[in-house]
Amino acid sequence: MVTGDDSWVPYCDRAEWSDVVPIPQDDGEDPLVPIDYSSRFEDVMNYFRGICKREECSARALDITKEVISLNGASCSAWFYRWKCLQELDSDLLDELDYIDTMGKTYPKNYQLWWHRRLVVEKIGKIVAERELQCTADALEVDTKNYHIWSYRQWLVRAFQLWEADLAFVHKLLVDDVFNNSAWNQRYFVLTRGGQHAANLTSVLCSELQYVSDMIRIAPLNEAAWSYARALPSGEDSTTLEQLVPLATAILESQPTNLQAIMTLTDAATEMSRAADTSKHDTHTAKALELLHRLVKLDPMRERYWAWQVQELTKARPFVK
Amino acid sequence: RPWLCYWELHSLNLLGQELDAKLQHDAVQFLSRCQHPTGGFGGGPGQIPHLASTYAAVCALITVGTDAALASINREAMHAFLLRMKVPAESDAVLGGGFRMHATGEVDIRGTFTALAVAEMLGIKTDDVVADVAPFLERCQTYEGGVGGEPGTEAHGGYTFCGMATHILLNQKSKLDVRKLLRWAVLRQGAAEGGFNGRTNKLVDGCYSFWQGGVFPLISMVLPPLEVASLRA
Repeated sequence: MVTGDDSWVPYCDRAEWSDVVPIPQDDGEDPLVPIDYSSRFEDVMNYFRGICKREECSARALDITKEVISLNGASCSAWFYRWKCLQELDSDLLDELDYIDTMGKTYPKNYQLWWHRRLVVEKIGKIVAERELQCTADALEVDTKNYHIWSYRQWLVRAFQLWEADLAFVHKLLVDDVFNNSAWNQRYFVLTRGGQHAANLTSVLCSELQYVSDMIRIAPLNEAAWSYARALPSGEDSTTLEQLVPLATAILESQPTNLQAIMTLTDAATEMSRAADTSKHDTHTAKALELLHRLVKLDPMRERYWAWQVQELTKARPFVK
Repeated sequence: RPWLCYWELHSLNLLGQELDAKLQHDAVQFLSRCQHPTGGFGGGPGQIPHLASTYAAVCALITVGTDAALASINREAMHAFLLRMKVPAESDAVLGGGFRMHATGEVDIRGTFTALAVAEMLGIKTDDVVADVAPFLERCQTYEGGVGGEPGTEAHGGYTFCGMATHILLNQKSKLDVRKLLRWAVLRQGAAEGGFNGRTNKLVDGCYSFWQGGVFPLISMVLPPLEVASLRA
């Protein structure tokens, strides 16, 4: 993101930088994969290396990291040194946050930038939490599945305990696009308090089962919703899969080739086969095998996987036909 | 640049091409300049060391395979670098046991895989390198069965490859649910395209032929094989 700015003066021509020894890149003779650097890039990097060598953490050092980042947004050396300078200078981190926010719009998929944002916000503290949450919401509107932004949002929610706000946000996204797996993943994250408290999810099991069932009825082949449904905790007297049997059965009545529904019934039958005592075992195993053979026909690309399931099922406990 | 060296040298290797002496020499010379005195390799001469460029450089040097290539790696400094990148378990309930990609940098399962892979290749996979890695990996497996970058984030092909490979590098001493991972991975293949997507309900992309496709040989090291006779059952 180099500005086409004719007033730019190379560092080697700046009097105020004459005390810094520029350090050329030591590529050696016949380097592999040489990059055809612009003279501007070389000049900036020579002086950045010079500053790093002196271990100088001044305002001009901070400035040059910004320049390196504008030429190469993924320079972890520059981001590392920038964070070092910000700390030593005890800089205004709110200004830094504005800078990152602007850069983030240009580099939405940059690991260094989004991690740097965490470091800065962690130091500033809760005062910017709501604003940051809103920034991620705005950014996700542009790309609803941006992994970096979702990761950062999860960190924000955890760090500042913003769980409730997130549930509303997730629901809005699912209304917009029920297939958005990132949103379903976030829903699970929120309800389990980041995987730390499955008990929290257990307490809303009934309403969640209803919620996801409604979403499945809207889009019966939506793998994201079915995966989420399977992840819900067991009920008081039935397992998760058992809880989903009525839904899957109902869906199959109108859509007899719905793979997600068939897979659910297959896994339910397999589970019951494993748990059952000998008298019921054969019934459930027969059911599971019948469904697996249906899957081989309906989903032939995954034939080997269904065949492997047959193998696993029949060797677990010998099945007498 | 070490990535470019690795992809190109390793590709030549896969194609059965011998590397001439000059290319071998130049590779060692250049990658040595990417090596940091405090351990690890950066993305280029004069850069701070980073676990991804470290992984790439080590793989490239091993592909070259000459005595000079292997001897050029400072194993002691590398071991110290890996340990510096580790996040102490007690310091962070979420990221503890993980590895930063570089000093003060991001922590995710790529760091875990690259660190352990390098440790394995260089024979420096000591107890203190692997300590607390398994719980971090387990926390990264999601309800879908795939693995996310950090505990809580979405199951993703690239991170799943890293996670499954880590499980193997831990000699399977983690509670990663491999059957659940297999199911997720199998469903990532698009019936219309034949290739793989990286996450549920996203588009198929060629890169996942590696990340997702590559996870199956690893799974085969753990789970019982398919006996062909079953297909006709």
